[in-house]
Amino acid sequence: MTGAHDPDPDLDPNPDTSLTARVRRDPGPAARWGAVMAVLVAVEAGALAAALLSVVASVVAALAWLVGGATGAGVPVEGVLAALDGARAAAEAVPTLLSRETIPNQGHRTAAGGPWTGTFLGLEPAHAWALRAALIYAYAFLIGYWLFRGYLVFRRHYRAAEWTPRDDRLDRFRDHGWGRFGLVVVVLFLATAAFAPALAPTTPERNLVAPCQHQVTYYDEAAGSVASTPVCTANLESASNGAGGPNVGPLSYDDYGRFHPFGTLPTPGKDLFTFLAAGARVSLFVGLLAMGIAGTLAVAFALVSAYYRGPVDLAAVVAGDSVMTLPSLLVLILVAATFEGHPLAEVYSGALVVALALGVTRWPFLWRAIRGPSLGVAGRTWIDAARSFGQHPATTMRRHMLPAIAGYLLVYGSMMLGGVLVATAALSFLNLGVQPPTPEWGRAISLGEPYVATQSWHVATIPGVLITLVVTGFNALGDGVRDALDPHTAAESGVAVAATGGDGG
Amino acid sequence: MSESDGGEASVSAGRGETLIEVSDLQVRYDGGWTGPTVRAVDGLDLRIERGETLGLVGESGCGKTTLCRALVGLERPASGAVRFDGTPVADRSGADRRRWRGDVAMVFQDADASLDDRLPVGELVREPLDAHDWKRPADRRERVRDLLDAVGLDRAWERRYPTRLSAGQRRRVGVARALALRPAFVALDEPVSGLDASVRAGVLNLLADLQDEFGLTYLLVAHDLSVVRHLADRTAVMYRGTILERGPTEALFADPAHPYTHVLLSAIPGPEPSSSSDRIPLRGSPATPTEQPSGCPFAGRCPAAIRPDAHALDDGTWERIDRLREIARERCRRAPSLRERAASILGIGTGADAADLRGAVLDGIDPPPAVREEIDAAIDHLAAGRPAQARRFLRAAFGSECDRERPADHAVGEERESHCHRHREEFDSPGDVLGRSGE
Ligand code: SF4
Repeated sequence: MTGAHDPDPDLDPNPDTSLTARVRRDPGPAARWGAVMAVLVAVEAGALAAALLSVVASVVAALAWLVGGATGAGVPVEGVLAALDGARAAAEAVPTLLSRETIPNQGHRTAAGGPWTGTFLGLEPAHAWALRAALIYAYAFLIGYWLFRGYLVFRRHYRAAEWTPRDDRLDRFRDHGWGRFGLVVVVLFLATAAFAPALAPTTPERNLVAPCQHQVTYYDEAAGSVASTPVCTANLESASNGAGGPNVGPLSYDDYGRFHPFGTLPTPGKDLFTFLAAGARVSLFVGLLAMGIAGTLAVAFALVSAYYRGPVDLAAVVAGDSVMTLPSLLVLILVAATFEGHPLAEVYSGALVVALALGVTRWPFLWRAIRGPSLGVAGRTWIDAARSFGQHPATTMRRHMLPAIAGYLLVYGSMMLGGVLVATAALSFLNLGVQPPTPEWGRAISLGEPYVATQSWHVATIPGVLITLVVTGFNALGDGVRDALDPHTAAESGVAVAATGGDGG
Repeated sequence: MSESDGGEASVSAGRGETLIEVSDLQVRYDGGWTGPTVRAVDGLDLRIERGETLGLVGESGCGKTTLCRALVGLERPASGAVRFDGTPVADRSGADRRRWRGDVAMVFQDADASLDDRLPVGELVREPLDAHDWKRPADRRERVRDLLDAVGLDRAWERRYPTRLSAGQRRRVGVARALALRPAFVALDEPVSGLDASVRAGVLNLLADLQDEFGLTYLLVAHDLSVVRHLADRTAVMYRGTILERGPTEALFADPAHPYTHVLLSAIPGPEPSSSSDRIPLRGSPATPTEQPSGCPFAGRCPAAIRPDAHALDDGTWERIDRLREIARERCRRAPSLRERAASILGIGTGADAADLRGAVLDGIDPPPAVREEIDAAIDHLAAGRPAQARRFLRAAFGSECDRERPADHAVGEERESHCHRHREEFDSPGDVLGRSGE
């Protein structure tokens, strides 16, 4: 019993103290971290709150429909939704550091070849926009890093245990290059979705939803003066219509002095970057909701069937397999067609229906992926130990099985998220699923598809490459997490599986 | 068995009354769709008295762990009953069963696998208390620390994770968790296997101290006989899911009655030169018990098996016949290969196989013609892919009481029983046959 009675210097001599007590004893690191975090949140409070509120509104709408459907009575949530919308508008009105108001990129020349007015510090719109976008992405990474820093501060100064098994996994992930690449791509994607309104060169409202209600001021070269015209008119003039037609390619200006980082879409000539940034939100919403549903179902089935086995397991296998045999895309098309005109299809322009359908059809794949680990952990002796002292099965599943499969859930969930994004895009490509005016990446590909071989190649190519990149990013993140959880699979080749202990008696 | 407990010193109040009574217990493991059902515990009777330590010895795979699991309610018996404090465990349900789960506990053999490595020690030890809503959370924390003290771990260790503990410390954590709800009975499944000698002594002393302190009743499973001899008041010898001999530990170790006990004890590298020099060899290995034996469970491997009067053969010949019977048993157990099955359907023997068998069995011995004929007939059955027939044939030709009748309980001393036909008047005692009487 080496050291069983030796006082251990790393161990808290009084483990009874709560976290607050430990922070109170040594408030320095927590205060320093908290101050920086407060500043970081404060400068973008409006944007963060707006992004959060729009998610909450979608969830409320979805829940209202589900509850209403279940009880047969409509749930009056219009008031709640209106209030949420108002709150979001209010939040958007809060000035934020990295907004288009602080660093505007929309302006016009005052004379032919003359200086720009209305832009940040009189910069060229392209430069002003690039500056803002770069700052926003930098901010996103900074806040992500600072959250991680917060965990490190907690670990170093306030955690009672000096080591937990999670520490090793985290360290392994930090050494995983491919996983870090995935993390960077995923953070970029999340940042694009969260800060879409500030990131794009113009707003979805101005450019995509109601372009005829907004004016653009520009320097009219022909007239030699500053003029003004509705955005829809300007858009029509700057569409990318392939060979022989007008074209505004990536990183170029149109005739109205507007900068288009990714070029424009075909008639009616919307800005592609704005379209894609707003589309990232939709994709993220569909992806997270679908994976949330699939994950919940998969976990429930995995835990219950692994714990009880036998007939319960068999029933789950039959249920899962029957869903898996359905041709997925066909079902999605059917669901999308069936729900056309249904009130549910109006929530988020049909994104909710797509998410629900994907979640309900994809869970067996996720369940199959985590079934092995679930059965593995259910066979461990500690499950028997829990049973022997009378722990409730639900508690055993939550405390002893869920933590063991959570990592795998993350791994396969993030990999499957890519598939969900592709399926959503595929539906939009077929003009089903998420409907205009709500932007969706698949629709951009569909719109640009006839022009791939022309000067307007960018319309389909850029969203296509982005989808590939995002899907690869999620897969890489999943790979990294898997290798961090399970270092053996990484070094599998030739390594014999460690012999398990004897099963004597 | 009588209720009095000889001259043993009383360890705790109430000692001598029966705490656990097992009668004709059967536990089977379903072999799935293809495999045979394994009879892990097969008609076992046992009585554990309050406050005592009952040692359980036997080769690995004989069902010791299954018995432990059945006693703490982790296995559902196929038949028979386990009574705890007079009440059949199967009759308890709902809240009553949950309460009973607090009265029994098990220390698992594999301490690594029985402690969830994602939870710190303190939480692991507290789990039984949480599961039973034991008092208030603050009391539970206090109790966890008392338990860690009791098993000799520093209370500061409660924040550590099992992977960072030594094997002995993990064992102590397992003991602390088992004692959390103050059980009356603890099944100790190989509590010190895989530990270094010094650590092992520490854990054994700890178990003894805890028993004195809390008046615990132990079932101590160990394949290391010295551990049992050191701790157990009484010892039971288990083989193929059933008990062959039981009795007070000292008497049983000093003067074993059952042939199997002789074999086990002869394998101890003891300090006395006599016991280490002539170890009794044991043929074969205990096969997975898939069928109920018609006679003695130990028949087939028993070095003292009774020979039928019909043949007067020398030991060498009997040994070859036993080997042949072993081969027939073995072939019954494993699924026949495609070639063997085809040969059996076509009714043709594979000549090479017959020649091999004949060589292995008959080489160097010269049995009388009648015996030789029987052996040849059995080999023909085997070579033709009919092992079951060969077995029946051999049993009829060379079997004895040991193969036909289940031995009764024979009282072989004060408080002692042994299940062997050789305790009957008409046969020589196992000790005489094995040349080990007179100790
Ligand atoms: S009954 Fe026969 S086979 Fe069984 S132990 Fe006694 S002598 Fe050996």
